[in-house]
Formats: sequence, C-alpha cells, structure tokens
Amino acid sequence: MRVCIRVFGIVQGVGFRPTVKRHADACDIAGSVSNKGPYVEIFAEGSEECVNSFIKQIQEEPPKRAVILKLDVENVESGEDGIHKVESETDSKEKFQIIESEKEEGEIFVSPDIAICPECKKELYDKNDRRYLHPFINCTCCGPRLTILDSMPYDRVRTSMGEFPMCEKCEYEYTHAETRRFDAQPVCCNDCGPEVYLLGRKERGANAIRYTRKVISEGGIVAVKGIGGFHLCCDAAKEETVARLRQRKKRPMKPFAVMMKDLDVVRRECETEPHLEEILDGHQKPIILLPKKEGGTLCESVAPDNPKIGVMLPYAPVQLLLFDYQDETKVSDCLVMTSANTSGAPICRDDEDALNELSGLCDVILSHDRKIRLRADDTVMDFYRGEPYMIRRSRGYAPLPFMMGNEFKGQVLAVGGELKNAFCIGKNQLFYPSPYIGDMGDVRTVKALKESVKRMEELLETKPQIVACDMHPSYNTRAAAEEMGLPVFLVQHHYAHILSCMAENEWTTEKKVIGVSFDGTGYGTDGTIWGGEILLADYDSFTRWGCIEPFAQTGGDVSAKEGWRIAVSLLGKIYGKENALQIIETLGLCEPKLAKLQFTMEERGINTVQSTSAGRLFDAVSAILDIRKSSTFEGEASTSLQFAAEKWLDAQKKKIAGSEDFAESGIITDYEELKSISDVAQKSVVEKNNSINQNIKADLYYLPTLSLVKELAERKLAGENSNQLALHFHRRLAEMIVSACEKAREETGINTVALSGGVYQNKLLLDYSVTMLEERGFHVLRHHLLPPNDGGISLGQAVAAMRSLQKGE
Amino acid sequence: MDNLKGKTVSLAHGAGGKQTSELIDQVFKAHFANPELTSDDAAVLKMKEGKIAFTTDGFIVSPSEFPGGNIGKLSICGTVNDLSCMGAKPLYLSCAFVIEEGFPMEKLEAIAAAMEKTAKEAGVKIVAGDTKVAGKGQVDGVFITTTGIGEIQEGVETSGFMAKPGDAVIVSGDIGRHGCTILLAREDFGIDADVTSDCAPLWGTVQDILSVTKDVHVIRDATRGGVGTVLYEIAEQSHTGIRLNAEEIPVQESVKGVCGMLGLEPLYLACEGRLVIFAPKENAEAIVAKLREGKYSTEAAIIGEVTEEMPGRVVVTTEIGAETLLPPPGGELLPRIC
Ligand SMILES: [Fe+3]
Ligand SMILES: [Mg+2]
Ligand SMILES: [Zn+2]
Ligand SMILES: [Zn+2]
Repeated sequence: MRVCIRVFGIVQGVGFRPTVKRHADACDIAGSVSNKGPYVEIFAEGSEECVNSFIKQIQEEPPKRAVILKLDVENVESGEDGIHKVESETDSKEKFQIIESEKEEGEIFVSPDIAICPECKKELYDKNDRRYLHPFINCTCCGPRLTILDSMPYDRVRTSMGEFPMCEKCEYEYTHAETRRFDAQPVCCNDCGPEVYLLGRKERGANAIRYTRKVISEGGIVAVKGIGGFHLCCDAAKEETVARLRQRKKRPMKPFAVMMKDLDVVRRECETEPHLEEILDGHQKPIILLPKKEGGTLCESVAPDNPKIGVMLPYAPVQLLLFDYQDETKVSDCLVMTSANTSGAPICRDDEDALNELSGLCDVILSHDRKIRLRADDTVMDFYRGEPYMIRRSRGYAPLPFMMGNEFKGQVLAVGGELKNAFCIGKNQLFYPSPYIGDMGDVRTVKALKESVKRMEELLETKPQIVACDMHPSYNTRAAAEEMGLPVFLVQHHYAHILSCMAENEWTTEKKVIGVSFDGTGYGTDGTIWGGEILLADYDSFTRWGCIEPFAQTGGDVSAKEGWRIAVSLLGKIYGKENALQIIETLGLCEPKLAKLQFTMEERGINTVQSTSAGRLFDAVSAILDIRKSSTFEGEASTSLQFAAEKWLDAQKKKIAGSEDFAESGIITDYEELKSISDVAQKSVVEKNNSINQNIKADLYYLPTLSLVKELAERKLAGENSNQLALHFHRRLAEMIVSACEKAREETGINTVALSGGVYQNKLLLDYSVTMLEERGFHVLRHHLLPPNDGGISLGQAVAAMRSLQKGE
Repeated sequence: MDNLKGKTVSLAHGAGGKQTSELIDQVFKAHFANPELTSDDAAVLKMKEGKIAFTTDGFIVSPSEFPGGNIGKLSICGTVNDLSCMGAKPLYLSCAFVIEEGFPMEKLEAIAAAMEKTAKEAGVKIVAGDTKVAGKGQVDGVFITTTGIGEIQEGVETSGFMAKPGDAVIVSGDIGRHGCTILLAREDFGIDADVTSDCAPLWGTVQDILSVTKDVHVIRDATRGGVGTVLYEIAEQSHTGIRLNAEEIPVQESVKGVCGMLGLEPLYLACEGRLVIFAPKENAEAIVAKLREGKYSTEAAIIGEVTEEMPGRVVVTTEIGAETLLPPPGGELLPRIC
C-alpha cells in the first residue's frame, strides 16, 4: 500500500521530519518526508497494517512542540512521483528518506520562538559537554524560530543562521536522525556559529559574559541581546540601581518585569500556583503577573505601589549565563529585564539601534552576531479562573494563527490600533496576529510596523487584497494603511474589539452577540469619542445599543493622563458648574481657577470632545476617591483604582476566612448579594441626534454612570473609605453592564455576551461581569490568548475586512 | 487730540464728503504725513532698478487692542514682515480701513498712532489709503488691509521651495505669544498669565540675518497657524522632512503654562513677530548669535533640522526621547490615547 500524507499545522522547526522518520523506521515503512512550507508531505509504502500504525503514531506521538491542525491521507499508485523519485535520486541505503525542502504555496504555519529546553539547559551546565556554557545552545525542540526567519520553509539557509557554516560535529548532528539536533536549523556550538561580544569594548565570548556579570553585580545597568531584541537589565534588589534606571529611562512609575533565576526564586518572591508555574516554566516562558510576597528581596522601585510583579524565567541561554557562570562573580537571582528602547521606540534589535539608543541608558551592551529579523517583545500574561488571560501577545505565541470557518476566503491585512499595536494577516480561514509592535505615537514604531508587515507578508506568502484600519482620523496606523495603495476598509474601534473576541472564540458567522466593549477612547461613527459601549454585533455589522453617560473630555491627549479633568467635567455635569466648584475643592481635585478653566473650555468648545470613554470614567473615579489624580503611564490611575478595590476585598476575605462564599471565583465574596441586583439600565434619548451613520439608533440606552459618580463623590465627602468605594464602583458598574445586557436580551433575544476592550484587563470588573452574566444564564465570550486591549483589535479588523470581501463590498 | 474725545465714527464719515476729509485730516494725515502721501488719486513713487516684492494682507482681530499692541501695529507688521521675508526692504504701504459705525474716534486715533510708530520703526512710508464706514454689525470694530512694496536686496533668494536636507531650522524668538495673548483676551478663562503679543516689525531682524550670510534658503514669518503650520508648508513645498528637538523650542513659561492647562500645542499658536529661518547648518550658530543681539530676537534658537526622511512630515523628538509626528495643521485635536 502506498499513501501520500499531508500534515498541516506547526510542523516546521519542531523536529517533525526526524520524528516521522523514527516512526517510519519503527513501523517498517519505506518512503520519504519533506517540508513543503505550508505542510509536511510524507510518502509511505508498506503493508496496510504498517501504514495504519504509522499514521496513528504520527497523530498520537508528534514532536513535543508540534501542533497538528489537519492530516490528509491519499492513496497513490505505485511508481508515482514520491517514492520512486526518492529511490532513484539518492544513493542512500536508508529505506525512509528525509528530503530537502521544496517550496509550495498554501496555508503556512510559522513557528514562534521556543524557550531553552531542559535537556539543553542540562548540557549548558555540563562541564563534559561540548556545548558547556554555550550562549546559543539549542536543539530540535528549542531555540529561536520566527525571529531569525527570512522566508519559508524553515531551513537553515533561510534563517539568519545561514551565514554561519557548521563545524564537522554540528553538521553531523544536524544531518543524523538519532541526535537531538537533527534538522535543528539554528544548531551551533562553541566551535562554530555566532558569538557574544560587548559593543565598544574588546571583550568577546566568555570574557564578555564575565564582564557583563561583573557590571550587574556592582550595581550597573547592562543591555543584553536576547531572542527578540535587547533588554535593559540590572539587579532587581538594588534600590539605587533600579531608581537610576528609572531616571535614565524617564519612566517614573510603570512597573519593570523581573527575570528570576528559577522557580524556587519565584516561590520565594511571589504567590504562585502550580498551573501558573507550568506556564511560567513552559516552552513559551511569558511574563506572568504574580502577587508579590511579603519579605521578598525586590526593591520598591521595581513596581512602585503595585501589589503585583511581572515575572519570567530565563528563556535564552545567554540569560541563564547571566545568573550562573564559571566565574567568581555572584549575580542576584532577580534581574530587572525590561525591553531596551528609548521612550516610544520599538525594542532595539541590532547593534546600530543599541549604540544609538542605549549607550546613554546603560553601562555596557552585551550583543551577539546572530541577526534578529523580526522583533518579538516578551509576552505578558495574567490568569483568570485558572486560565491564561493575555495582556500582550508576542514572543512564543505570535504568529500562531486563529482559525475561522472555511467560509472565510481571501487575503487581508489589518494594521491594528494606535497603542500596543499588533497587526494581523488573514489568509482564508487562518488569521495570524503579529508580535507586539508598540505605540504608534512614535514614528520609529510606525516604521517598524511597515517593515514587519512586509516581512510577515513574505513569510506567509500573502498579497492582501484589502487593508483594514481604525476609523480615527489622526491614527498613524490609518495613515500607514492609506499609504499602502490597497482598498482601505475602516472598522470602528469598539466593534473591532468585539469582533476580536468573537473570532478568538470561533463564534459562528450567523449569530449576533451583545458586545460589551469597555475601553479607553476610540473614534465613534458619529465623530465623538466612544469607550463604554454596548453593541449588537455579528461579523457583518453592528448597532450601538447603549453606552455610559456622555461627558465632555477636554484637553485632547492630556485628558488621558489627567483624570482630575474628567472628574471636574463629570461633577460639573452632575451638580451644575457653580455647585460643583465647592465639591471639587473639598475633594482636592484642583484649584477652583483650573476647574473654571475646564468649564470655560467646555462651554466654548476649545479642545473639547463629547466622550463615553470608560477608561476615562475609571480615571475620574480614581481622582475623586483620591487614589490617583493623574497618570505617568497609561492605565496608572485605573489600575490603582482596581488595586484599591482588591485591597478592600482582601481585607474582607481575611475577616471571613474559612467561609465558602468565595470559593468558586476566588474573588467575589458577596456573591449572594450580586444575585439580587435591580434593573438599573434606564432608557433615555440621545441628546443630540447628530448621527452621520444610520447604524446609530436615535435612542440609546445609557448606563446611569453619572448617578454612580455622584454617589461615590458624596460618600467620599462623608468620609467613607476610598478602597471600599473603589470596590463599590467596580461592582455597581458591573451591575449596570449586566442589567443592560438583560435589557438587550429582552429586546433582541440575543443570549451571548462578548466582553472586550482594555478595561476588561481589569480582572475585578471581569469577574463581576462574568459571574453575574453567567448567573443570569448568559453565554459569555471572553478573551483567553488574545489581549482584550488594543493589542487584540487587529484580529477583529481582519475578520471584518475578510467578510467585506465575501460580500463583494 | 482732545477734540476726538467721546466722538464715534458715523456713516457720514465714510460718505466721501466734508466729514470724511475731517476724519482723514484729523486722524490719518496727522499720523501718516509724508511727501508721497498726496490727495491725488494715486501715489507716484520712484523705484530703483531690480526686483520688487509686492504683497497685501487683511487684518481682523478681536479684540482690536491687546497686551503688546493693537490692530494698527499688527497691520503694519504683517505686511512689513511679509516683504522682509522675501529679503525685500519695505518701502511703501497703502492701507484701507473698513470701520464699524459707532467705533470710538479715540480708539481709531490710537490705531493710527500705532501705525505711525511702527511704520517709522520699519522705515516704511504709508503713501495711499482708503476709508469706508460700514453699518453697525456689518463689521466687528475695524478691519484694515495693507499693501506693501519692497525692494529685494542683491543676492538674496529665499523661497519655501528651497529648504534642503542639512539645513538648520531656526526661530527668531519664543513662539506662540500672540496667539496666547489673543486667546486670553478673548475668552474669559480667569487665568491671569503675564503674556504680551510678540507683534513686531522684522525688517531689522532680517537685515541681521543677511548681515551674517546671504546663503539663507527660507525666511518666513509665522503668523496665523503658528510655527507648526509654516513648517508643514515648507516641508511640503521642499519635499523634505523636518525634525524638531522639543527641548530647544523657545516657549515662554507663561505660554507653556496656558498651553498645558488647555492641552494646546504652542507650535500652533499664532505669532506676529517671529521668523522661521532655514539656512545651511554651518552658518546656523552665527545667525543665532547675531539674532540674539537684536531687539526682537533675543530668544532665537536652532530648533531642528531638515531631513531626507519622511518628506512632507514634521517629527518632534520629545523631552523623553520619543519621536512623535507633529499633528498636521487643521486637524481636530481628538484624543488618541486609548
Ligand atoms: Fe481600545
Ligand atoms: Mg500675507
Ligand atoms: Zn533544546
Ligand atoms: Zn559546531
């Protein structure tokens, strides 16, 4: 019996072919296996029994990192291409052949980068191994992939390892199936391959690493080139050093991630759980947000005023060597490890960038000559109900595709949002979100976006027919999209959020959802700023069903940093300007003069826009409760509000420790109370029907957020605890959302709710929303491996654009 | 002129009869008198050989008086500066007034006085004029149109098309004061910031520049749309990019404060006495040094450079090292931060 087997999925760069050969040899199969770019092709000849058990083994025992999405088997006549050709063209005596890659078009699965595996780690510290302390050690199941790839299929010549000839021993391992490095494209050793060195100093190799370790141990700041770019690194226990890094990076408050030597250190510093550790130490090694433990060694400046810390384990061999090396230096087991760049720029990936941007930030730069083709920042992940909840999807995850139904046909590019940008390429039913690109406010990041789009298009062999972008007239991503010379498809920001959530959950094309899109600011179809939206949506269109109560947002981008401005605006609206002044002063929001100024700007329409931004509502409440009046980084005021609420909750939990009330979710303590909320969504009519889009209903439902703000302000003035009020705000807002969903269900019969938008990074609001919605019988779609924030919207944009192709728009 | 006290301009003042001549004699001729300003239908002027520059500008400003000047001073500066930017020595101006019925004579006189003073300073003569009175509500106070002629100095050629990569971008002083002054005078913000208009005639300033080198590619006065608008115009005309260093841009603390409160960009506030100069880098320091000795340019600074990258765009390196696109002029300032 002769068959041709095609295996689709992550089958390249994961040792698929050698595994197939092992199975073939074990099952007594003759034939061949080859990489075809989109898939692996196997010709197999043997008895029916052998062939069947061979196929079964491929399916049941694929290589560790492989993901089989589809496996086709086809009978082929004897003498047809595969088998015969192989036998005649090679003089090997092997019965089953691995043949060199050919290129073919089709669905392509590019493997993300894989963290160093336990076997390689063992060899790294084995004095008798020939790769002892080798900073680039890797094998068939670990090492860089996407970041060194030039084009598909994944073969050494098409990676940045192509320029390094292999030594004899490496060549042998690379070509022999019985070794751990058979077909490992980035294979190299202490005798061949790339080398580490210091920029602007003479030290290379071991001396470079020793010097770097010394600088760290003496309280210096170093830059280290890893897998997807450079990191800035220093001792996380030294307050003075970390403070200096903050000062140099001009980053006063935003938390730094910490790389810890191993799981024992993590357990010493943080509260952790087995399922978190599994991912923390898994082959992707993302940054995970963990609660700090009391009595830890991390200094305050690492994550000021923040109960959590972003933790990761070393994933590149050179990072392991920073912690532990053959020298006299003792390096801290907790190192700050933050993306190396100047403010706003993308992570540095080559020596030129590093010299230009990092020389003033650090004391020494440890680089190497294996080129990074595509940047990949570290992935950042939170957890919800024991499952990953993505904050930034990048190294180790991108560009794994999301799979949609096969009614999706065509090729699209979606350029994503303005902040936390990632773009997405859609090719028929597969949608590939890119690694994190960055904040498009900076022109260097816009350039990086354009470069990365080009590279990913080449890797995935796509020619987009259409480019999707946000509607915001001053987004640099929109300008970039319009420059591409393709038809441009505009997707409303909050609709894109909901679409991304639907797509991640493989929601069916026919059915509508109630989309709760709560985030910062996005451009609405009516030219105002939206942000706390309830939409009715399917893949083809949406209606704005409701939103939080609108307010004036004054000061342009400044308003996103200065929550007190929004607070003033809200209080002015609630109490009338004259009465508000007294309250504003008592709450200590700002001087009366500044409040008056705000009101004047609002009256005259100077730098003022109508807004329903939920993010700004959080900022305002944070200011009213005297938690944060303004932010030094995005989300500072709103996350502080969440922390305050959680602090209160924790205190409550301790009081009732042992009770079973909160066993389920781990967060909600007053669960019973949540069951009995009243119908709070009240209907009112939109004040000005200035809609330029018929998608907007003349009447919108408003969530009564102003009365909530009023209540909070009054209770704060009455001297109630800010943390308790912060918790009340979260719960009350969730109640309004849930009530609105009930009302929408009553009207439309839609029973599925999709939760998305940056505000849903807030797990407290998420948990209240999910719990109450489920309690009321809703089917809830939420994010898992795609960020709820703007890092996820490119998937939504891409899906919408693809649908528009289908409709022939 | 005591006889003007309490009087206002009436429609009869614009009817062309006796009252018109009275107005002209008492207010305008009293201030503008010079041999070339005659009662004939047109002024007769002698010109040297060579190229002349010729320009016109209308002035509407509310309020017509503001800290640091009034519409009269503005109307002279505007046209004088336009001529100066072409490397032309301003020689003659005409001015046409449209005055709202009921406008106080005293104010009009103050405007004329300011025009006289400014014209004298700029070395320019007002040689022709016209006065019309419009009914109440048809205009807001007074509108002035001035037209000017100047002779272009030997060897000077400046144009918005001539910026080249490698040029330094210089401003002749701190920016945005006029726009800030007018904004504060117009809107009752309740801010008492110490800001006066930068309104000034700049022929002397241009002469200072040309005394250092005639190799200057662009000189332009930043008016209505501020320095930002000028930069975008030039980037477009010259097909080059412009890169600014935010730390170097001179902005008075009080203007910064007002901009901070309102969330406005000082680069887009109007100036009425500020030049933007593009000149080869090697002469830039010398130009700035010379400018800093001048009356109206003590705060002159090199604020950026012309680049090949990103033609038509203006990029600002911020205080924290980010490289942001200066939002193109005219766009709404909508928040983008999510
Ligand atoms: Fe968003
Ligand atoms: Mg003009
Ligand atoms: Zn390995
Ligand atoms: Zn080797």
